[in-house]
Amino acid sequence: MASKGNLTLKSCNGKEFIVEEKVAVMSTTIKNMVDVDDSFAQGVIPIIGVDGKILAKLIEYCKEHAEADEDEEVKSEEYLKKFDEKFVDELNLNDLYDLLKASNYLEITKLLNLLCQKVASMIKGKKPEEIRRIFNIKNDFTPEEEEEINRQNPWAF
Amino acid sequence: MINYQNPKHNFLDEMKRTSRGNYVVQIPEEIVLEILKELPAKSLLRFKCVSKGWRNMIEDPEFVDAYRVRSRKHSTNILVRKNCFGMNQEGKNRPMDKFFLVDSNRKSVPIAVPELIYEEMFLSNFVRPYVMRPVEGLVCLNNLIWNPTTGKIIDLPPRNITNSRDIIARGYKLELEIEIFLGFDASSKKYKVLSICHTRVQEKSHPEVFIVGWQDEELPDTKILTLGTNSWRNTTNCSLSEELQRGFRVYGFCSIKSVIYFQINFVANILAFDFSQEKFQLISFPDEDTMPRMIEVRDCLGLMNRECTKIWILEDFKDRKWNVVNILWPSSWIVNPLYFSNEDGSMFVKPVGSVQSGEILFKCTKRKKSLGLRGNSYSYELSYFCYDMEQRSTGTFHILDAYKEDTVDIYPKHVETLYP
Repeated sequence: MASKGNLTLKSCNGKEFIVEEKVAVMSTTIKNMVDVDDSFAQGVIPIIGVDGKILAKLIEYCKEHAEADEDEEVKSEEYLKKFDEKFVDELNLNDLYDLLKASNYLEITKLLNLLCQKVASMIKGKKPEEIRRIFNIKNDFTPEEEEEINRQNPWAF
Repeated sequence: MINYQNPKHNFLDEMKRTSRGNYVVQIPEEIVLEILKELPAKSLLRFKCVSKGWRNMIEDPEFVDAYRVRSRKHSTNILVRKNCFGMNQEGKNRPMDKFFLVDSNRKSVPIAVPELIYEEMFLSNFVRPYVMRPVEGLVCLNNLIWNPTTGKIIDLPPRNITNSRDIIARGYKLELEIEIFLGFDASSKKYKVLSICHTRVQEKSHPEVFIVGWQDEELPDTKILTLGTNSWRNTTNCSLSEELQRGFRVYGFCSIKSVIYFQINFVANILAFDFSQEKFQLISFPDEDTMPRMIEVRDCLGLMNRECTKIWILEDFKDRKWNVVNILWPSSWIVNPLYFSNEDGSMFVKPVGSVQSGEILFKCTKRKKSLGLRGNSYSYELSYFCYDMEQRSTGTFHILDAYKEDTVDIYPKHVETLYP
């Protein structure tokens, strides 16, 4: 049982994390749950589909940002920027995609934006065929159609 | 345990991994859309041929609009225009302006200019519009509308002059011209084009000056078009005073948000055309100063006096609410109308507009005096600096040395739009 002001989050593989409420409610999904139903604040909140490793990462991110929101002097904008950079740089691809989905589901908007920017910077210089491979997309254009699109945007290549 | 699982968020099922460690992902479309919004426009144009699904996402009007809004909010891009000349196929000297996009890392990329733009510049007798500040990413150049991001030129339907006849003034026959002005109607999220039929007067000191209307009782011939539609409509001219209906001179213009402001020769007045209501209105200057400079300041009209010591900002167009800001220059500067001087020499200062952080950008030409054998000689040096209205301080504005030339115009906060 979490003490007052703290919430317990439980990952899909059974790991429990006790976090301050202000950290947990960085997630709009959790905030809505706590706001609607008081019993969540007392019990354990299951975070379905997110394993312990990813949940720990999420909490690490939310903690820094929640603290920065509270006290701008200790954690300046510049500090946060550096933290964000380091945070995404250290992720491997698997974690990046897992976090992307988890932050979307938990509605941690700031983190979702950060991760999307990271993916965008990774793929911005890629060729269409590389994009298809990364995202597992089938090319459903005929060669003629593809050529027509390329002809319309000659300086995009 | 409380069951709150939402089938929409059941993302684990959507994930697939290949056994060889090659990571293959199935990312939900809503996340893909968020990623696409973060990409440079050039990548998006290229990714249109990834699949039909991706093309549809990128071309979806809702996405196109969201992309424009995002680009506008964060844009630290600068559009650079360099006035140049070159030979055309017939060996004639003609304008061949170059364009560049400078991104937030100060990386400069040349933009391909469609041949049609040069032809149009050539045909319109080299008249270079003074102000062609891009409107939500689109550029109105002479009588063409061009998207430097996608490279497309937008075809406009033909526009006829309503009362075509010869205009005789002081014994000279005047040519009628149609000038177009681009605007963006924020309420309908559509680009619109205002066209005005006018006679141009070529004055060396003011090449941009033209006269709207002529010496008779008729209304100026103005029409409006929504981009993407095929017909010119009439505008509501009713609020123009009789005096104005007889014709007026336009000295400059500036398109900001949903309004285009014309600086006209009626003392202490600005003629505004509201693209949402499609209506002309007169706005009075808040001060006696007769010829302030019109610039864009934080998405509002700004009028700066010639001394650059005061700026009036039209904070609310509807309620005509003005705010005046005094500009405090370093105490070592001596401020005269048109130029400043300090111990280094004198400098000519011209406001350009505001940058993303809200500071006002100035173009500054320094004249340096040096003692030579035959007396004093002067050298000129161009630079840019920013003025912060809150801190009341000046700061440097970094731009590549190559663009520190008098023939270069820079447009900060350039928006990338995928339309059309």
